[in-house]
Amino acid sequence: MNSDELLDFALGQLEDPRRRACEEACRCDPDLAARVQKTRRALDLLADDGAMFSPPPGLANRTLAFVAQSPSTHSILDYVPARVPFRWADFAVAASIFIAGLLTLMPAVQRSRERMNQAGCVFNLQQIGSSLAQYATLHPSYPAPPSHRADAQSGLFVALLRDAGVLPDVSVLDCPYNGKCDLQHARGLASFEKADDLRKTDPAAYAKAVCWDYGYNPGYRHASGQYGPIDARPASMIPVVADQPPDDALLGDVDHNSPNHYGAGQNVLYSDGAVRWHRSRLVGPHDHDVFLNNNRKMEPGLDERDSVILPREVPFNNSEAR
Amino acid sequence: MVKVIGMDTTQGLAHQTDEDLMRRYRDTGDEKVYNELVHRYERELYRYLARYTGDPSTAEDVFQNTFLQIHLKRGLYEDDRPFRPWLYAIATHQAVDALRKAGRRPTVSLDQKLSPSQGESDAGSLLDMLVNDDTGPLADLQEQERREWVRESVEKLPDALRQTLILAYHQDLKYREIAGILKIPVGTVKSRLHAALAKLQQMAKVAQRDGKED
Repeated sequence: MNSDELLDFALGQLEDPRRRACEEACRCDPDLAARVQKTRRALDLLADDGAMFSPPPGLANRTLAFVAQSPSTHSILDYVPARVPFRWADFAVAASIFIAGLLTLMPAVQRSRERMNQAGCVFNLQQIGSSLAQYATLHPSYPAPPSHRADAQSGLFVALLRDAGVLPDVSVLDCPYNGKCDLQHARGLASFEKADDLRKTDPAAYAKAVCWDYGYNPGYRHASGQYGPIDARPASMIPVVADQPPDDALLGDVDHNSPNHYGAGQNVLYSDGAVRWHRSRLVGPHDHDVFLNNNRKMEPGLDERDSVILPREVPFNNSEAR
Repeated sequence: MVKVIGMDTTQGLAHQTDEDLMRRYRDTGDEKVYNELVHRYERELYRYLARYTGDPSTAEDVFQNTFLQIHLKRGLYEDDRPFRPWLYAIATHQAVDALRKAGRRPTVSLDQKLSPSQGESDAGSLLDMLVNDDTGPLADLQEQERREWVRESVEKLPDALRQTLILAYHQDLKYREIAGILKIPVGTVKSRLHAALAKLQQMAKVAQRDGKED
């Protein structure tokens, strides 16, 4: 028996099984019994004041009379059940409050996410704009294929930028808004020529590699009758890159915007390096549709003021409709 | 429904536990059940209150108010809740209120921190202090003189220690019941009790030394 237990035993504080064990130990060990006895004596000397408080006669009856006479001052708490049982109605109320809170909160969260994704898309286009500006300092125009590769798809402007070493990171080609682009294969994209060869030899692998979310303006029909790229003139406001055009079925309808932002509009990168958000396909008084030329076809523009953002799978100089 | 004959007689009620009686009083408001509870605790609770308040008439008032509260708050009694700690908790609150109104004792928070000098020493050293002193500083006093000294010394203890000492030593309540009454952990009850004893032992030594010097 340790000191703590001995003190508790002397104070009568040990619970039953342990108390019996201590009593048994005291029976077997006279020294221990004497020590317990001594402790009890010391405790009694310190705390026992010998006072015998007896209730005054009739206390209980007086108390009953007092309670009977007292006004029955009930408080609201007296009617509250001590333990409220589970009720489906309470659960339904709690659930509806939770759902109402969620419904209130969800649009705000959604709006915040949309703004963040919108900002991400603008940032991507600015990065691409920066790459194009660097390209334009090395070349007379924006990316365009050599004449023997004129049927290359316009999406390969990215390969041309990478060949020039001005687009190190292809992750800027993923518009964060729709979250559909997987650029894993695009990262392994080889040179422009190899990529164009891949299109002919393995169209499936090519489609996987060229999968980004932005379309490119390959140029327009020049006065000579030939198709050519737009000139790099920072002062002019010519759409160069934008969110990808809608699918074939919706392309002809001017009311349908890019699918990147779920039809809300499209971000357009201009040759002055700025990115502007358009809620419609109208980008200028002479250019009513950024995704079709002024002949309502998905072909390069008819003139300098007719800008067309082509889907990545449409050839640079092709005059065939998709 | 079959009515159990004899259940409502005084003898029948006497065999029921406090918890059963309280539950029945809560549900039915049966006066006989309430009478039984008041009579059952008349002596024990009065003894506690008289010792704690130090005044018989205050103790009587507090006793009556305690049972008035039991009557008024019977709806709050929870099934399976031990009745005795609940009764003592109400009585203690009533007593603290009464003492505060009378302004006779400085009120001390129940959760006050105890200084090391107030006996946060371990049980071993407390036991040594109590037992190793061969006769004890109080053993030489006359019994009447010693009782007087104990009464006065216990009165001087801080409220939290005095409460615990009375409940554990004089009322024979277990640590766990006291913890329920004072709403403090069992460990704190134990340390308060040890602190009270250590403080009394310390006071006894001082009294002995002063006596010898005189």
